[in-house]
Amino acid sequence: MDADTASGTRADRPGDELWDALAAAGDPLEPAVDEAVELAVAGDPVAVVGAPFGGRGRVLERVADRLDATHERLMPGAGLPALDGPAVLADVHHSYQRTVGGFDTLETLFERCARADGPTVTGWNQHAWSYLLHARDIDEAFEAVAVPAVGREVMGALVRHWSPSVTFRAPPEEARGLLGTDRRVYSIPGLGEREIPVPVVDTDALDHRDAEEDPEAAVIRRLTTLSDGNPGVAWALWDDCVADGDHAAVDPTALQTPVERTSERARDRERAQRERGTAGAGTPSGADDAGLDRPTAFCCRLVLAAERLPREVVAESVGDADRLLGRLERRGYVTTTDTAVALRPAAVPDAVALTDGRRIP
Amino acid sequence: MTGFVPVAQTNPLAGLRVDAGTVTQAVLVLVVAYVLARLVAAGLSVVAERAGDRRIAVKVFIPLVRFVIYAVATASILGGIFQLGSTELVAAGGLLGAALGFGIKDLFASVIGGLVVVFERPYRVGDKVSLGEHYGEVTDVGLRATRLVTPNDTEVVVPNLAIFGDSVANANAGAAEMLAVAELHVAPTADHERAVDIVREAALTSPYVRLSGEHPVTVIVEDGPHYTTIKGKAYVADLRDEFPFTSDVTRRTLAAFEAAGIERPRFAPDEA
Repeated sequence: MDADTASGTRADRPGDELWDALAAAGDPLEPAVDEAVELAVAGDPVAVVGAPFGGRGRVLERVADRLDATHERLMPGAGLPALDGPAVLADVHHSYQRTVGGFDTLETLFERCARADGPTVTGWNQHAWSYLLHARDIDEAFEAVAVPAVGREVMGALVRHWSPSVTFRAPPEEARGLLGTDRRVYSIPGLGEREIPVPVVDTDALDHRDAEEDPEAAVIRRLTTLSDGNPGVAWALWDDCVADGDHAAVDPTALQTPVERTSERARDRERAQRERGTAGAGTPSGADDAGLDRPTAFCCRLVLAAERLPREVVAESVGDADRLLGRLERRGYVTTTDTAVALRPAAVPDAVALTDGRRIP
Repeated sequence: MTGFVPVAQTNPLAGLRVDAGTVTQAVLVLVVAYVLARLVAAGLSVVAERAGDRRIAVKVFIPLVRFVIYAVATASILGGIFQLGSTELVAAGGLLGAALGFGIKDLFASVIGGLVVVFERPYRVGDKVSLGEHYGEVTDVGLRATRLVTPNDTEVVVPNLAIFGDSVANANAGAAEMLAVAELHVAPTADHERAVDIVREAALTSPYVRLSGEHPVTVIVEDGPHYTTIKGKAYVADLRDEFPFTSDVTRRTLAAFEAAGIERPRFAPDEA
């Protein structure tokens, strides 16, 4: 099944315009293209490994052009194409599933790549790749080429390309304090649930302090850090930020992931419920990632490592998949349809933090 | 009569100032110490639960902080409120010795055991340990006793003197991850290679597994006259996932065994 078509989320994903702008801004993907072509011509099966939405697809397109190779994408549950002559195969992370017997297609791919009679270049999601490094020693079968992250200079050029007329401003005064308070609800023996002000250290405030002198640099720095230099993620974060009409002037605090926005809204709602006296019905907190159990985080990892998946594939790897996917969608990690689930590009930092924090491979 | 000394002068506790005020102050100090220790322990527990894989590193401080609070309270009661000098302390020590002889030696040994646990750290709060005949997660290390929660969610209070007489087995020694073992049995005539592959894949694909260069999945086969034991060994990222992991691997392995036609032993292992 084509999860792309089913998910209906193509418009939410970075398109050709982003990659053309990236090429114009110094073309940071070029070294990966050169190295992949060089290794492939030398006869090694090549794996182009990149973060979700980080430009892996564009690297593979250019490699296919340079090698004059066939260029196909692997779909979840679909069979492997024949590797006759120069071949570029994208989204090869769909060749395995986290189930008993889920590595059979991958083993077949290993064999075909080893016997291929022409240059073979494959494309892998980096989270799937890191799992397979330990689960299947995949680095024995391919020479890996990493898709590079972009630096602040390139990110600045992209932002100016996306929003030539945007203005930058320093964050509000209250966002610059290193020590703040956060009101959290704790259960106290004998007193029940009580909202208690808890001192919190806001490390982001260190970044905001010099924002008054150069707001643009502060915004670019924040965008680069938040996206981890991933241009596709940065594009989505920026799009979310400026899509709101209030942000014609952007400050660093306006850059938020979907999960951060959802958490903020949930906290506001919970506070309002307590004020109105309508809280306490036992609804689990929607504002706290700590409330997500390991199967839900695992489900998030499945989507992070595949970017798009049919629901049935998720359901084969984890029980009660519909409920878990619903929890992830409500918190802003993924979007779903009746048949498919897709990772939200702007939520990649949240998904990585959630799953790496729990050391899910 | 030159050797006669009035009794009042030989009583080393004669200078001890005990009145309603000092007793009240001492009780007050103990109450404050108790409340403070509970608050700090509760606060650190909340912080630990939010600290993810650093949970155990934070919980290590709970018994230490509690010990310091009670030590300061004791010192302030003895030295500050009752103003005991060296003579009084020696006399109090004599009384304590007598009390030990009369039957609180086990309590004293447990307190010493508590100090050993705090400073030598054979186990910490959050570890999974076997203490004597009990196995479970350490939830509290007190001066007198250690509390474990067993896999059946039963709290067991083990006096700290147990560490002097019984061996202590610690499954994770302060780390968040631990080795978990799923044990399955197949008939001696079953396709062992296929069975091993299934167990390995079930462990590799479990939501609870921790995989890294230092944390591989291994499968061990042990032969027996009536059945072959296949053990899937893997690390779980959080020791609380030990039983969810073994249950998940066992459940999916059994389903795959059935689908692949892997023969199960005719007798249950404990019947063979």
